Amino acid sequence: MSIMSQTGLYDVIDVILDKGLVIDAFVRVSVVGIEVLTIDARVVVASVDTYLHFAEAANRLDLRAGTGSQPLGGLLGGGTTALGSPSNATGIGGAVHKIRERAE
Amino acid sequence: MKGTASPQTEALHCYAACRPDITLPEGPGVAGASVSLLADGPVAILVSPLPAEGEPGDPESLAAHARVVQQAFEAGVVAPFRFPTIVASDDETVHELVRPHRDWLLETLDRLEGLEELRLRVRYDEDAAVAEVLAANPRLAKLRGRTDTALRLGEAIVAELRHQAVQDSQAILAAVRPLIEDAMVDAVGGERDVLTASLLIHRGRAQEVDDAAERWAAERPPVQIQLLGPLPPYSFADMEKDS
Repeated sequence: MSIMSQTGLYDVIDVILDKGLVIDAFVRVSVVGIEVLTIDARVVVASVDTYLHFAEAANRLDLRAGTGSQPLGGLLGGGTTALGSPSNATGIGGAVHKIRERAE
Repeated sequence: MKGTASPQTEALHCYAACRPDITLPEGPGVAGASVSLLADGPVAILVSPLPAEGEPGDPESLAAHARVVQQAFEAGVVAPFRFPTIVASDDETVHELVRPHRDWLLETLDRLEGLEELRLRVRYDEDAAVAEVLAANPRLAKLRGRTDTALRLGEAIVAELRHQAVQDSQAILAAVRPLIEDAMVDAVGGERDVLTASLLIHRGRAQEVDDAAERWAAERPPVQIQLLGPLPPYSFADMEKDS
């Protein structure tokens, strides 16, 4: 995936914005108009909402498959094996690409 | 000095420090301007003129900045500036700024020679992670479906996930450690976002790192790994000056 695609740039935007050389005497102006920043920079704070969310997540799980680590693969719907197709690992001239991204 | 920018412009956008013999990126830079090189001895800075109009730091500028830095990185060693870094275009101003830091910039370039960055993001598949917690804690599983204990259940699950996230983060970093030169952890131990980190590796080693991460992740079904790169070493450009 090229860094120029929206997704590629979004994926590394925090690196480009927050990292890099800073020389004291250089002026670094404020960043304006980068809407995606507000998405990526959100701070996830544990709150009542978070707790209720995970309680809800627990409630909707079907645990009848059993307990222990073995059935978890089934809960994933085979996701782990279908992830990261080999094409993702193909280099494109050294440009930024996803080496692998596990499916959400 | 070579390749100086147009004297009419008032400001210069700075992309990265590099060596003066680097091949200039071909495409347009920020605001469509052509990229040039301000060299001061063994150190150079990639710049392009910035028009007075328009607000600096917009998304198009960021994309152009990233593209130029990426192209330069593919041509040689770069130490990217944090976006957006803008200086007055007066050559003397630039050199007054660069010269006092020349040794440090040179050391930085030497340190980053032959290296690249990978961005590592580790998350949990929520259902799988919660199921794992419940399977390991039968007492929590019994609280499911009750409204009076929902907060307690959720809080306990979040606490377990965060604890697990720290352990998983340490484990995955240990799994790739033999293959990397350095690591910088940005966030660790969230109930959703397990780990966000940058890895500094030798160029061409990304696949090895990915393989190692995958081997580890195969043992941990709830873990989702995203590895992006290779990137210019943004996260490792500014390390030594701070320390």
